[in-house]
Amino acid sequence: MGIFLGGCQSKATTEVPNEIRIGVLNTPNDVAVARQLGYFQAAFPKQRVKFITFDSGVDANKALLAGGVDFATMGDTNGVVALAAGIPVQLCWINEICGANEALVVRKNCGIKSIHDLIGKKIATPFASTAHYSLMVALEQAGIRDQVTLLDLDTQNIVAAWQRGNIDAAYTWQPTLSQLLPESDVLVDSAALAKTGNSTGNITLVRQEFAQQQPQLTQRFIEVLNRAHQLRQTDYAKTVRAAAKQTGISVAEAKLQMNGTSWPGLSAEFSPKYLGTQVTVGQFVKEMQQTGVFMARQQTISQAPTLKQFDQFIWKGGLS
Amino acid sequence: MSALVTATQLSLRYATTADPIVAATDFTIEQQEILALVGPSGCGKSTILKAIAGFIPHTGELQMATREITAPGSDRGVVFQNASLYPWLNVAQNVAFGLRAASQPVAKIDQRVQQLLQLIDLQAQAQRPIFALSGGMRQRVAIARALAPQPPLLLLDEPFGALDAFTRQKMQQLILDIWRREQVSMLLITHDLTEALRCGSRIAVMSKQAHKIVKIYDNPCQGMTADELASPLIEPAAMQLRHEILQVINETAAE
Amino acid sequence: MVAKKRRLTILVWLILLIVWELVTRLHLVSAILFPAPEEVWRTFVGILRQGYNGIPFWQHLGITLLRLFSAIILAIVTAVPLGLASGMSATVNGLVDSLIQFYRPIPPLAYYTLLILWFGIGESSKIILLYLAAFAPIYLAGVEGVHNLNQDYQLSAQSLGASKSQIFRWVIFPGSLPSLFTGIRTAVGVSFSTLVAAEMVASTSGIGWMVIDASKYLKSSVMFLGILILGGLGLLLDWGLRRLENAVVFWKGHQ
Repeated sequence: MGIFLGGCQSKATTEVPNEIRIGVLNTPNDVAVARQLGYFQAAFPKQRVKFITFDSGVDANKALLAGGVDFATMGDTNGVVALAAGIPVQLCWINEICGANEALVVRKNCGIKSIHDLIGKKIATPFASTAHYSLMVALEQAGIRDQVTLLDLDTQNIVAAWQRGNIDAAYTWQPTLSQLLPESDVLVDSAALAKTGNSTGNITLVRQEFAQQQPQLTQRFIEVLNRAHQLRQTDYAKTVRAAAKQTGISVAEAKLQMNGTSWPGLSAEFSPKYLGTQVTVGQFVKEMQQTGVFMARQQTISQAPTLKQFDQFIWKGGLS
Repeated sequence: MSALVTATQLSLRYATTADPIVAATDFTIEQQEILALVGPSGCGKSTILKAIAGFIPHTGELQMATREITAPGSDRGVVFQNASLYPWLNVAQNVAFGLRAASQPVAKIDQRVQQLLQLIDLQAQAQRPIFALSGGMRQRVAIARALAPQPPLLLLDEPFGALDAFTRQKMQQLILDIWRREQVSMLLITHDLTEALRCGSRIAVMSKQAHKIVKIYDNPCQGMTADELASPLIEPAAMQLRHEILQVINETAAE
Repeated sequence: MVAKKRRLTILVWLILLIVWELVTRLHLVSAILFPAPEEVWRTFVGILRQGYNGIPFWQHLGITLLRLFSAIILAIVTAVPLGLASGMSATVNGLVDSLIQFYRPIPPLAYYTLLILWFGIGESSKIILLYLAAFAPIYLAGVEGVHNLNQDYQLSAQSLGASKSQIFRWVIFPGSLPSLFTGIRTAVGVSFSTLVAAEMVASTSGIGWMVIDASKYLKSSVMFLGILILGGLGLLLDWGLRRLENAVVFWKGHQ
């Protein structure tokens, strides 16, 4: 039904759509900044830009599949799921690279000093998230993946379970992380895992049909987000203020969350370091493919997409 | 010998209405008699039965064997118009209900149940579920159940009202047989004058307007069959009584 | 009549299967939205052999049934006495009825987060959620069972000399059984439909969790399989309960 309606809508407006639907996460990222500062309206004067907030990449994927949104931001693990499941979408943008804003924390003073000490403990994380993937990598690197109990909890329930003492550790992200931090120690964070070739990040997917029919609009979309990335370089304070205001959190909180991430910017993204060029496959793409291999081994996806499939998954319009 | 039940200035009303259903009526039920109570529907016949059964409170005096009636008890067996047998029990279990409640020994219960089933001619149906019985059979089981604890008084609330004419006649005969065999008095509520003439030792007539029993007749026709009641030899006597009763009812209606 | 109905039922399912097969065979819809029947079958065989998420299939099924039955049994043990008590006593009714009427229409998911805060993320919060879903229908059936009980049943019992406890054990309880069974069947239905929600949070096993987890990774064949299993399980449970009901409440529908 959703696909059917979506199809009709785009057919009726083949020339220029009068509405762009963007799926967003309620986090202080580049989309929040661009939205707050009116970059979208400036870039799309003829379109109505509609934002739909999703709780997770899981829901964003369902919306993309049903044709309910044209763009959607999500963790790169959900991007791997989308590719493996065959949703007709492409990756057009890296919103941020995760670092210290996602971490594995344990209860203070409980004798857990290293990942090895987690054997026999209960660890919570939102399944299918970047944090879940990072946790699995960390456990695998320590060789104790089968010796811990994993619990699938969303972020609010992690806080609740932590307060009740139901869990010993959690791999989660800001702002949940700071709610646990006063009484916890960080064992490892995503910045450290990125150094071992296991980067995670938040990415934006575009509906393939939209990208093919509206390359200019897609291009303009990533330029809007690039403006936010550039603003972060030149005026970090303003960027943080805008993000805080948009997501309804304090400036201090926004700063805490954003400090842990990095925003690569347009020229860096379409370089061998991240999404690659016309001739080379990007490093971030290679690591995403490794993520796919890992997830297939975990049987969370049925088959790992090949590197070639991943390269085709990238929308290269941003290169021109 | 004193009366089994004595009502003196008995008044009955439902909690929801101010008007009395029964107002200051007097009557007795004698030992070893069938008192047939007739009257138009809605005149309060059943209410009197409920009061004697102890289901509803009363004002005035209402005594059973010189003791004021305050609650239901096993000395007054009740048979409702719709048998109200327990469908989760079979025929024998229904009959045994009052005996089990009195914690009688099993052997004694079995013996009494057999005796009663024989009386109502349902020995073959002892183990059958209630829903497999006809309306007449159910009413027979209900009578046997009420008789089981050997109450001195049996209260029958239009027990055959829902049965067809043929079955009703057979049931009337059964009532008479039981009355002769068991040491029991009966109050038979009915709106069928022929039934009252066949079964009643005496016939009490209740008026809807007066809210009370207006007259009690001795009945010379008790025990006659329907055919005998209709025969030319007997008929005048029955006719006479029937006429008188109807006249009383009509008189009070005209008031 | 029955045979005809059965033929039609089989026919409908066959047609559904054929349409499903055709729709996927002709690629009318995307495979992630609608996996082919054989794909779902392959997934089933795979999960039977290797389990799902490292846990054998029977364990998923077992934990789900364990949660369901613990909740139902707990609900029967508590809601039946409370419902019957509330039906019999105005005091008990005044104390508890409004509370239950208040929480009854609240969707269980609305208070699930609270339950997790109070009882943790283990089995207890899940079982309590299912328990609360099951409690209300059984309680209401208890109240209704007593209220709808033929008044004459209790009056007869009193006239047969039964004590209060005998009346409860021999009349009120068995008389409420038909209503209680209806309530239990509703309760199983309601808790069954809450199962997926109960297994949504902090779970790593159970058929409901399997569907939720599969949806996170868009594994539609697993979702289809889970839904088919839940549907079949629901039918099977209701069938079993109906059999039990027909055996225990054999008189139901015969009056």
